[in-house]
Amino acid sequence: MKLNNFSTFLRGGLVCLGIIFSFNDLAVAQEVVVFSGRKEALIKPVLDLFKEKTGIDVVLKAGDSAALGQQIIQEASNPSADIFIAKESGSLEYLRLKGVFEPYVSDATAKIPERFKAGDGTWIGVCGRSRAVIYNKGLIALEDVPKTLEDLTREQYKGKIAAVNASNESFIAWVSALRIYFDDTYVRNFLKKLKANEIHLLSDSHTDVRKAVGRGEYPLGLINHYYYHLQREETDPAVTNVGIVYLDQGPNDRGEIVNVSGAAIIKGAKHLKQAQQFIDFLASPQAQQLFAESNFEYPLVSGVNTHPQVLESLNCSQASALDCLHVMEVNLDRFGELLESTTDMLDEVDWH
Amino acid sequence: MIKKGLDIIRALPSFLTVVVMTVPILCVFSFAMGVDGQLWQRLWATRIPALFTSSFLLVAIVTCTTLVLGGILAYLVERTDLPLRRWLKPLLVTPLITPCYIIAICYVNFFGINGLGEKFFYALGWEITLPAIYGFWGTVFVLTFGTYPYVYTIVSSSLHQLDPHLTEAARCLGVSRWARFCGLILPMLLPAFSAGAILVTMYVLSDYGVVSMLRYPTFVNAIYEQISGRYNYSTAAALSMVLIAVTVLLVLAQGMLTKKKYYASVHMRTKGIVLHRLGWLKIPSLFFVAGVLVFGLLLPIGILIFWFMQSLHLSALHRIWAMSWTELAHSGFNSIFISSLAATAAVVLALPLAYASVRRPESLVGRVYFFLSQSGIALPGVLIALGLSLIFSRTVPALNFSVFALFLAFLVHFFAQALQTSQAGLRQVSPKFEESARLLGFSPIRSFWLVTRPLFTPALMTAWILVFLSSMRELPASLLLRPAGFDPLTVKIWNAASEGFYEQAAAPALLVVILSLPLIFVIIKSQGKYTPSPESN
Amino acid sequence: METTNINYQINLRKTVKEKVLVRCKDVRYCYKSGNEEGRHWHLGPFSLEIYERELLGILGPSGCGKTTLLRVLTGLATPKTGAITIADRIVFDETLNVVPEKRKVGMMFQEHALFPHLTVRQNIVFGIRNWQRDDRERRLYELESLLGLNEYLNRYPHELSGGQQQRVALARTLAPKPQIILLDEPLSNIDADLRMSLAQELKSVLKQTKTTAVWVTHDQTEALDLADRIMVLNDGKVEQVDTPWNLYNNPRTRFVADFVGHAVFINGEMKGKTILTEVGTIDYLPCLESFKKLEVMIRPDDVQAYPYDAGIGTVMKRQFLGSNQLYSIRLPSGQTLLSNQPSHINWPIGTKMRIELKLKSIVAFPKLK
Repeated sequence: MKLNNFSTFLRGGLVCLGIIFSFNDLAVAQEVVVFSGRKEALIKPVLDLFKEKTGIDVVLKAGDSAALGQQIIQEASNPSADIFIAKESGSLEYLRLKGVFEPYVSDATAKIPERFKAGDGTWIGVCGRSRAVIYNKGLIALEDVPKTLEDLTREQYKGKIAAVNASNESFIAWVSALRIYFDDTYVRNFLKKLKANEIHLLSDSHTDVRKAVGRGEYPLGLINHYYYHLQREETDPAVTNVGIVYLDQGPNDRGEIVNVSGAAIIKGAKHLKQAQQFIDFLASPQAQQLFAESNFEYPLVSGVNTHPQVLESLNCSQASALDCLHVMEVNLDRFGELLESTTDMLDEVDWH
Repeated sequence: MIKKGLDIIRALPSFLTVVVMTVPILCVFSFAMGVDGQLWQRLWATRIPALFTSSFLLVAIVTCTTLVLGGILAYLVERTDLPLRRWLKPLLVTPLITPCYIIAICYVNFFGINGLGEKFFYALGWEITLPAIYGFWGTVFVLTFGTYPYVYTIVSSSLHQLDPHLTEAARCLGVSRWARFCGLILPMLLPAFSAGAILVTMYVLSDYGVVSMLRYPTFVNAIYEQISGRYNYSTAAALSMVLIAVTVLLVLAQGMLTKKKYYASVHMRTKGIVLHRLGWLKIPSLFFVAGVLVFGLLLPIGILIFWFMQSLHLSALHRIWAMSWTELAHSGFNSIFISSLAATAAVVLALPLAYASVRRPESLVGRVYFFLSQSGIALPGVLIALGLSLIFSRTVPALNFSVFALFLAFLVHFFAQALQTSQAGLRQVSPKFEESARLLGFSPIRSFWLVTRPLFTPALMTAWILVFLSSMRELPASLLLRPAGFDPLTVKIWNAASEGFYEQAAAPALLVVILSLPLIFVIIKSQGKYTPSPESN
Repeated sequence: METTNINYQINLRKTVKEKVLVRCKDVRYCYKSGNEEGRHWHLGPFSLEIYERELLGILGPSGCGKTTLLRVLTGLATPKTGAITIADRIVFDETLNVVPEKRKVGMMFQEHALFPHLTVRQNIVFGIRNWQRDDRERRLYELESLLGLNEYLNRYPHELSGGQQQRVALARTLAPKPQIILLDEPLSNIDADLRMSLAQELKSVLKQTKTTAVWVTHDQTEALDLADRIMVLNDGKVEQVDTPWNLYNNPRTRFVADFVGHAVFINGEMKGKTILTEVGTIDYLPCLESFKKLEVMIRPDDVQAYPYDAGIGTVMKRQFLGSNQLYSIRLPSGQTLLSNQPSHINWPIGTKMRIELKLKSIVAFPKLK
């Protein structure tokens, strides 16, 4: 190493230091800052399309909803984010209650059904997903797969089910939903029974669950429905031999929980106009189509069809999966207030 | 009196450095003190005992396995007639170029049912079932192959400098080979082993990527989950406090164990070393070394290349998820930028401290040094991120989740590396050089510039590279503190891999490896000059 | 060690008073900072005058403060009190402390401290890099021919032998023409067989260049051989500053007597105007009348011995030194004398000896309890 290199390095470093700390003030007008609780790859196609359509640059920070939510709450007086995208309604509701969202109603958002958005217009659902069970066809036959929630606690599935741990917000929302439908004691016992049934909590990611089931490490996995389809898209044919079962689908059963992934504008957003454009875009048929096609989620706007593969897995002849799926009736608005007590309950039963 | 006052003024910058280094931890501590008793009770009843056992067990076992592996390899290349040992010697350090969590990502997919490994063997015509790598032993496996070079480098350079006369003397006294080894070589290598053990312990204790990829619960990923998955930091802070306590205990314990340190008699004579003849063990030994290289380096890199090739022809659906080249270049720039910033700052701050502590060890600054050198690396990045986040959210929220916060986290985390390295380097430069220059008519500053600086630059360079590399690979703090639009490579790798898009993780991972490669060789080259050796007392 | 100055003094001080170059007055030094009184001084208080063009040796056992003395002169160590003048310029007193680089004092360190990243040429011109190019080249040429370095100019220090390194270090030190140069054990890492010739070479260069020099060593032969005057240091205190001849023949303290040259001490008792010892009576000593018990210094050259069956001495040991032999002879009281004998003499161990003292000067010290 030559000595000069080092001093050049030093000097260069100092110059860069100056540049970076003046960066913050150089707000580029044509951009929108998006915090996404959805994983980067699963939101990127839509962001790219938005960029292409409007010419507005998207600055993304992808992470865990709660961490991003924390940041939004802390920055309430001077927010760096314009848009918050969450995997499910619990985080959105939680933050709505904290008063960090800016209401926005437009023609585009009006197309989203009332039950999939906030009453005060603070957030909209973007696409729907339901809970489901993925199974490995090589390890278990369709008739042996659990059909109801209660089946999961049966002796025959001991040590055979994989699931996510208490850090996954979809899972938290699922438990919140169960708490609304049943009562806390019932849910706590149910979770304890699952633990006693040696359920394997792999990580905080459903991807791990679908991959594990696909590879045949476990016969069954608790997931969101689209992970089944993502697994089917794997390039390796050895791991795509999986099937999906929606629980409690009998005519008199309580049905599966459907949750939405949604988005909201942050109060005090620096790029409000662009943010509103972005929300409109998410509710547009194009974006809805993309969510349906690239990620197998349920589009919420009427007129956009669910992915045929999803319909096929539901044996559905309608255009929208939501018309075929038997849905558990719970109010998504309550997930926010229940969020913290649900995580406490999961900690209590040691769901780690 | 005046002298004392001057001393305090001189010590001021270092005290400020100490404050910056310690405040995050004190903040976590004070926050944890406010955690309500019920939560503590619940944590003690549910999580803490299990996490304690699992973390401790992992640290203990990995430390042992790396000591054994690193020790054997060092002995093989330094003291036996192993074929190709001149080539193997530098090669065995190279697993350092792949960060451990990248190795973990690769092995998660290589092992297990329907993994890449099975496919590979199937293609060769063998049907073999490989077990999955998740859990304790998998974690031990990956961490051992990822961290043994720390032990290996220190022990082999110590062995290299061991005076051959000593063993010859023992031989003449009629001491058997085995007794010579146990009674003479091992005790002489003790300081090297303990230095390696400390590095490995601290690495394992603060690792986030490997344990969460391999689903082995430790304090660090429990804390990370709490920070990232909860709106309340109470549990995170409580767990952190326990982790701080565990870390301090471990550091103290290690300090006690290695209290009686003594230097190996340093002798750069390499001629006349009688090599241990391996005989029939030659081939098995060669296979052993090759195996280590395969598992530590070749296999992970091979898997990355395989994925990278796959990523070049993706299906239409996979392509819309993929990362563009400009995005890759952008995050590569982010990584280099933030890491060089942290490295430069660390070296600039470490220089006066190191100088003061080496040249005037009795001064206040010199005493401060000891404290700093012990604390820095010991604390996991996730704690530093939590501490900084807590401070900024209470004082200057605008700085929370900024490039500056990330920079500060790296600085606090890796400052001790810069300090220790520059100190070791400065020790090699005799103060007589500077005094000679002064007597030849040059002012202290000019003497330093003309004589000490050129001699000291390789050490500073090494310090810079060490901090740069560490910052470029750092994971949890990057995930937690980065601002929007500023994703370093590690975050790209992690985001892609944790969602199962391994083909996408390959390009940034290979970029990290390629960027590390020349830098690590610069360090290996300067190894001979500046051996990371334990402090002498 | 506290002893009284009691011996004869033959004044051999040079008759022509030379010009004083360096003058130290009441200089005291200790390592720790602080100013409490009554502490142990690591060096001094001492006063010293160094004459122009002289070669002053500083001799003492290791750890006696020799190197510290040099560092005090250079300014690398700051004394507590005292005053130092170099060439009529005060460089240190209560109010003033000239920094080392302004003192024009050259120093050769024990390990030479050649800059490892510079070639021999760059090392030599290091101190004169600010000179005019022509002057610099001329000076370099002078030095390289003086010390025979022309072959090595482009080598690096680690490629040189110990002797070559030493010459380079000397050239580097001499280059800026310092007023005085200090040599800290310059021969310590030179092989024994080369040491004497190198020492002579060094001395001749110093004399040729008319350089004032202070030469620190713990080797008394080296000091006696080279120095014009020698200062003997012990535990930070000056024992004696004198010519080699005086130091050997008229040591002022017991320490000097012991440290310089082979000497043994035998007990004596004051009786009137003579000292009674086991081996005979020694003549009048005017200033020791108040002491009863004495120790008399006896050099091996002063002991005449002959084989004699009724003699009181017994040969215990003989040490063959080549040109001469050193015989250890035990007296009845158990005390031992050394006697220097030509190498052809061959007395077996156990031979009874008669002993006569032929003292050229009488050196005695009061007996310590």
